[in-house]
Amino acid sequence: MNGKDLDQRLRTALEHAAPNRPEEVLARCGAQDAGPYLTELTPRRRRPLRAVPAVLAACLALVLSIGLLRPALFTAQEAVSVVSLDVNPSVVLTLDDERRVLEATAQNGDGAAILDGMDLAGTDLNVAVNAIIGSLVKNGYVDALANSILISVEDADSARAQSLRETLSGEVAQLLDAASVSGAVLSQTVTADEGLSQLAEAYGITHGKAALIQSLVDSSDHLTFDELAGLTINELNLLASSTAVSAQREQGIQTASTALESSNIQSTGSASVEGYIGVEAAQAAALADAGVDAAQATITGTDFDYEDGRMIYEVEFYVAGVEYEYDIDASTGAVLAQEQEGERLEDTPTPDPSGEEAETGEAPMPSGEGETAPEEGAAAPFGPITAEQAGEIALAHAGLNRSEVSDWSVEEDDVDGVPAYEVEFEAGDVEYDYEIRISDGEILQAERDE
Amino acid sequence: MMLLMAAAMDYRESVRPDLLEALMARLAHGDRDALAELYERTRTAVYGLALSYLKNGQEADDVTQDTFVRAWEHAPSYRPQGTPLAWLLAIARNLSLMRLRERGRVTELPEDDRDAFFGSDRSILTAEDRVLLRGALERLGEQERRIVLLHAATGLKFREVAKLLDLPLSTVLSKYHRAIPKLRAYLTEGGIS
Repeated sequence: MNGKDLDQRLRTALEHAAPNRPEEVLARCGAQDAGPYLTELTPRRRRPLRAVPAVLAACLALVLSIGLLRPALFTAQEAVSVVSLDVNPSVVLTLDDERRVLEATAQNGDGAAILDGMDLAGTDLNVAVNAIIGSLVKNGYVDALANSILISVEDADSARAQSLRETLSGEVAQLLDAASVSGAVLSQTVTADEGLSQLAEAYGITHGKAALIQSLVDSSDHLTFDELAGLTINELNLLASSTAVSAQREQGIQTASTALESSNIQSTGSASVEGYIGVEAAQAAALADAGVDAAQATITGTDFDYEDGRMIYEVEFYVAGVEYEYDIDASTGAVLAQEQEGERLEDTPTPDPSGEEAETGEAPMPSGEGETAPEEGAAAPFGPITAEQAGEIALAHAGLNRSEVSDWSVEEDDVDGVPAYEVEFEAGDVEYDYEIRISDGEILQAERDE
Repeated sequence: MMLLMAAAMDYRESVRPDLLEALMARLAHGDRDALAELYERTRTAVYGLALSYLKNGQEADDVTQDTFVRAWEHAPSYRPQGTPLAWLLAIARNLSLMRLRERGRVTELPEDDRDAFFGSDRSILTAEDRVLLRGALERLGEQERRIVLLHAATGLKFREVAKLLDLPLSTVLSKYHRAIPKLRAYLTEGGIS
């Protein structure tokens, strides 16, 4: 049973399982035109309460009573700056040109819990920020396990925005120090961006958090806005500081660049990793799974990434001519996936550590000049072929060369129990899908989907 | 040897954008017959997407019905973009995510209640259907499940699935080909070849 058979069977099963009661729908259809469809999507997370340090408790108390102290004749001024503070709770402060709070709003349910009972309108910004940080600590949203805060400033006057950003990031860092939290502060200035605003509205997050997420999505070839929208700032900070996220975009070229470095986001402190197993444990799990002695391996990278809804460590190493890449669950140490490329230079057989998860990954074609169509006879005439040779056979059959195709993928598969490489690629609007027998390079299946 | 997926082609034909656009235009003018036809053509795709998010047959059923009610209500605001199926699936996705948020986490199915999972009134469901759907829900990771079910339910090409899920095509292909052996193994365990 190949993928196509399974697809067809699944489609049939879904047709059988799907409701077929149009009359029910029609009976519920009343007036039309409820406007464009839009909904709030962001999930929420809440941490346990913890005691608030005395200094921040004082700030909180000040703000809780500030409504009584506020001048009775205070009237709303023109809004010139918008400041958002994100952890997972998100709070937005609108300020006048004297850095006085005109309005404080919660962007999500956790933000509402943080602002509960506070009357911030008319207070100075520093008082408001003290109170908010105090409430975040008191309510357990900022602690040793999740210590990152994002400050975003939007102001048409870029110099004022920059000054405000610097002031706030320094102040928040000091407040966290005072609360004995080793904090990590991300700060940025953001400008009006209709696309980002729409995303922020759709996901119920702040413009600032949307900008941080977008910088991650832009630097990665696999992260999506949808999957990142529900993460905390600490998780986003870990990803934004990770070389693993952006290295994939650069197709395996190891660089020290991170999403943070290619953005305008300023960073102080380090995002907490206390909720995770740690780099050494992740490396040990990968090496053990591969059956490789640590002394024999050269580890080329270990950093955070995000796959299938969880934080992972991506561990890369090579030994005896074989390159390994492991995805290790950052919370449990479980091996989630592994890929390996190349053949061992020694006589000992290559370990096959992960059973069904093993795959060749996206094996590159031999580069050469990349312009000459490979000949069908390029595969080894006797004995098993390599993934690269399978690719050459498929390209030759399709009458294409490597430079003409995109979205290249070669993976181990089987066709009715016969081990095969599945080679897939696109050329123009046509998708090609080949099954090439590993033992001799015979084409078992060839599909062309226009 | 060139093999064509005739069944998939048939399904893709039934959800051809120009056909669906014409139905959406009629829907916007309050044509209930157009809604019934849209329902018939796309209910499997909408259900497949909802199931991939919710992992619960009854809730996916509810979301499917709600999606078409929402489509009716909002049809006058729909602007032809050549992708009415994507618009419907976006509604279904949003409704699914709202449900997930309401319940806080994905509902786990009690061990002894699996046959009720896809609705007790689904007499049309075969034993193989149930094993297949359980396998997709229980053995596959989140993204794998979405990709496999969406690809199967909609007949969309991988690049269209990638666009709909906002994922790189290479990721979709990679996840899909990791998922298929898992599903195949599950079926073998269930005695289905």
